[in-house]
Amino acid sequence: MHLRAWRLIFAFVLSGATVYKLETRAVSVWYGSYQALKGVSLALERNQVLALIGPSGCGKSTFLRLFNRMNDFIEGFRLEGEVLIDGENIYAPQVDPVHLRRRVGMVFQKPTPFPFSIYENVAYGLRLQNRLPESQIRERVEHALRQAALWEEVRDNLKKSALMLSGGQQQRLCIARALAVRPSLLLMDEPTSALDPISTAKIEELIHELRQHYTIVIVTHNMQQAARVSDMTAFFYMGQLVEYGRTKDFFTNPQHPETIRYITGRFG
Amino acid sequence: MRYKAVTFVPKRWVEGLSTALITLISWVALGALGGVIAFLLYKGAGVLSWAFFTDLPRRGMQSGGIGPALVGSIYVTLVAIGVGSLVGTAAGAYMSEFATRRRIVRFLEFLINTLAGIPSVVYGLFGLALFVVALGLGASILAGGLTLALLSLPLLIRNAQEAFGAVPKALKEASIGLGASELQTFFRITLPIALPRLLTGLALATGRVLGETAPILFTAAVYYLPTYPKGLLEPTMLLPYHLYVLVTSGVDVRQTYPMAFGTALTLLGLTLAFTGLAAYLRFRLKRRYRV
Amino acid sequence: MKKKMFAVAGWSTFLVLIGLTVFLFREGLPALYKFPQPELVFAVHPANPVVRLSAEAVRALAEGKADWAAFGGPARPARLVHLANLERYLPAYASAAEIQRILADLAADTAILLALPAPLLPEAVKPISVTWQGWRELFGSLYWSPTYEPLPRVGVWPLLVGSVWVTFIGLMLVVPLGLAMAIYVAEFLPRTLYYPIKVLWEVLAGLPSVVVGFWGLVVVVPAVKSVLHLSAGETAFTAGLLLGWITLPLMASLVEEALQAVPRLLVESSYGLGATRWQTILRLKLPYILPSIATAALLSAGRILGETMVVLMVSGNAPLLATTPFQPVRTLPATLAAELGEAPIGSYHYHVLFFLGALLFLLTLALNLAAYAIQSRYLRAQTLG
Repeated sequence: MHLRAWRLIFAFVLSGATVYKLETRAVSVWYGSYQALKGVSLALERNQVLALIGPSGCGKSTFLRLFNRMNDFIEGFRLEGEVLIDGENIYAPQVDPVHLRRRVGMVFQKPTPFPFSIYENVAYGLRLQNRLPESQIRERVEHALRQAALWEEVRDNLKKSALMLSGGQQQRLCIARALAVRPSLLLMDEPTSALDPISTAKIEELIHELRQHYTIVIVTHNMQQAARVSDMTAFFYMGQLVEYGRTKDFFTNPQHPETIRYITGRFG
Repeated sequence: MRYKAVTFVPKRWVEGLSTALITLISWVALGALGGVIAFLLYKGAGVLSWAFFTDLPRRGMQSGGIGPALVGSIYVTLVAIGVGSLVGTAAGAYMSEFATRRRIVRFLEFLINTLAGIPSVVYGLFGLALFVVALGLGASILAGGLTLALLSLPLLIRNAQEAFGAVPKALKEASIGLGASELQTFFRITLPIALPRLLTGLALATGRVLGETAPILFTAAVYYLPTYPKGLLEPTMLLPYHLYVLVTSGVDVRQTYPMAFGTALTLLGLTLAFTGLAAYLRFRLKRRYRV
Repeated sequence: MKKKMFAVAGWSTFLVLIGLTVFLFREGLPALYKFPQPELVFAVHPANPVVRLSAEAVRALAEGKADWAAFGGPARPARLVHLANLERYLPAYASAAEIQRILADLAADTAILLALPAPLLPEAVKPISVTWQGWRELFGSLYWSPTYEPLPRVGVWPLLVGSVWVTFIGLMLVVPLGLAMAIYVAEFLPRTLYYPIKVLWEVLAGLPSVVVGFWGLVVVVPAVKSVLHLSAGETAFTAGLLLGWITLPLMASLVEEALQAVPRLLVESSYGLGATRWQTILRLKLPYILPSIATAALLSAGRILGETMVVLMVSGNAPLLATTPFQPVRTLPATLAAELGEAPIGSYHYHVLFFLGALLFLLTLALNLAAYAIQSRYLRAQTLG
């Protein structure tokens, strides 16, 4: 059995409580002298969808990027507090961010297909890790494309350039690419902001499907989307986690005045 | 299936080694530059003196100085940069400020790139056929200077275009808004603001022109002429060609080596002063505008 | 009015390009149809039935590789008299009348072939016509000896092959090292060193080539000679080495700019999939910027191909067909620089050199156009980043 699984069991036994899929403890983030997150604490269980909402610049993207340590590339990045995935602090010195990112998939605001074939796009992450035989790679590419509900549309065109696909297809390709490496956690940074309504609906449907196997964190500008796809919702404002709760309570019965103002559309 | 399987998966230590390797390569390649400079300094510094810069070459160029070559180079460079900067700046202004259609500018940019890729020796042939023979200037400071002016045009135009393009549009529009004509705006606003960048380009071109040898071989240079040039239509000795002569066709090459080191060091010093200055100014400007 | 002056200046590049093309070809094309020695009259003994010889036939006769029988004349080897070997037949001091007499004696030989200026020609000889096919002479010969008497040898292959060797060696050096430098500067160089290193690149690119050639002659040539155990250190390899080195800034800066321009989101996607820095470079960035790399390599090739002084000084200057890069060679530009000063204006030698110049111009133009075509063809139409 995997070391990570043992650690999970170990942590579970020790704490005598639920080990959350995701947990942050009093996380603060600075970029140089600018503080982007202020003491955010939050926990999420397995196979749940968490929506992060809030006005631009509120820190929700920064928060999302904590979980695959994408902020490490930004100059002057500094972190206080703990970020845990499966009970393991991913900012501990012995954690290799490259290995971490192989367990955490990410999808961006815009589709980001590489200028290779469809097949090579999905295989990209697989080829990075270990020397899989080509037959296995093919299997996993197909599986990932099926999971991303793209297989039927591209099965005959796997060798074609990924740039030939439509925007919505490209975004599903990027989801397939992320799924191919079998992450346990999927991060989505406004994945539908560059798409038309029909493509958006397909992606949302896909998120519903994926929830059975994955834990998903999604940043969105669109509150209807958050209400539709998520189990939990977190509202960020000026770097602070203002309100966090079950999505159905969140939108029907918000607690904080800022949350109310935001979901009733009084922010610009 | 045709997809080829991956055979190379970098390990962490391989990556570290690769990084070390390219670091080494980069610094060795630049270290060689330091090597050239240090070598010439070591061998040539002893020769340099005021007399070396002003004296005529003596005893079959084995002693004396490089006065005529130095002065000749300065004259030719002045002609080249004088003509080149006028035409180049005007052309850059046309492309950045006055040309009305984007397609024309694209075409001119294409021409500039084409010209920039033409070897300098071909410019030398052109200069010989046009200035020396067809226009009857003979091998002279003027013919050599004009040839070098043509050679430096691509660099100067490109630089001028960038310099004018970097002037904030709002300033130009403000001036137009105050009732200034396009030309008034250009001479009163755009040109003064672009001046530092224009000068940077001039310094760069000066460095390049000073060191060019091939174009002046047949258009201006003479092997040995122990007098200072008297007019624009006279041929002259020139530093780069003089160095070439000292190294390859002196009466006794070993005997002329000290002179050659001194000449090389002088030439290097002059060109480095200009290109170094230009590069330094450029990156300073870039940084200033970025903030 | 003033504005028109700006427009004229703007189109100056066009004028220069047109002028360059016109003058190169005006002076170069005569090499294809002009006769190299118009002042010489070729003549034979009146009894010799030959009336027309090709340039090759003249050379064959002069070198004793063929006798007159091969061209329908007497079965004897030809006896050639031309300006360069005339003094062999003359006493140390000869009066005009004496020269006339000696030449008349020589002309009595039925195997004689004279190539002399008209005033020197004895009366009792039969002028023949010699045909010169410029195209075949230029591209059908493996020898370059443009002052050879009585007819020059102007085969361009030794020079072209020399240029190819030097360019090849230069590219072998500049492409991998340029890529390495570009990757280092774009990915691993501490930001504080970024501008200083760019300044150093400018300085390296601005080194006068004659200084590089001098340094090469004094330092690199002996080093190449002793390290590779060659009889002479002046080789195509030496020249390629130096040219590759001074072309590094061009190659590296073009690739570095391309690397920096890879859209940030693509790079983050790669990292997000668990790629390391090197994996992202090798699997995403380099494939992505492949057109730019090709462009940079082509531009570097053009630069190396056209470089004159370094090659002139360190490549050994031997216009012989080189079969390995470790032989002395002479390139197209070096030939121009070395010989144009000695070629009388308007002479065949002069036209041939301009022809070489036109050739060099076309070659570099082709490289530049190819680079331009690749760049515009593959310019990414993506809206990313």
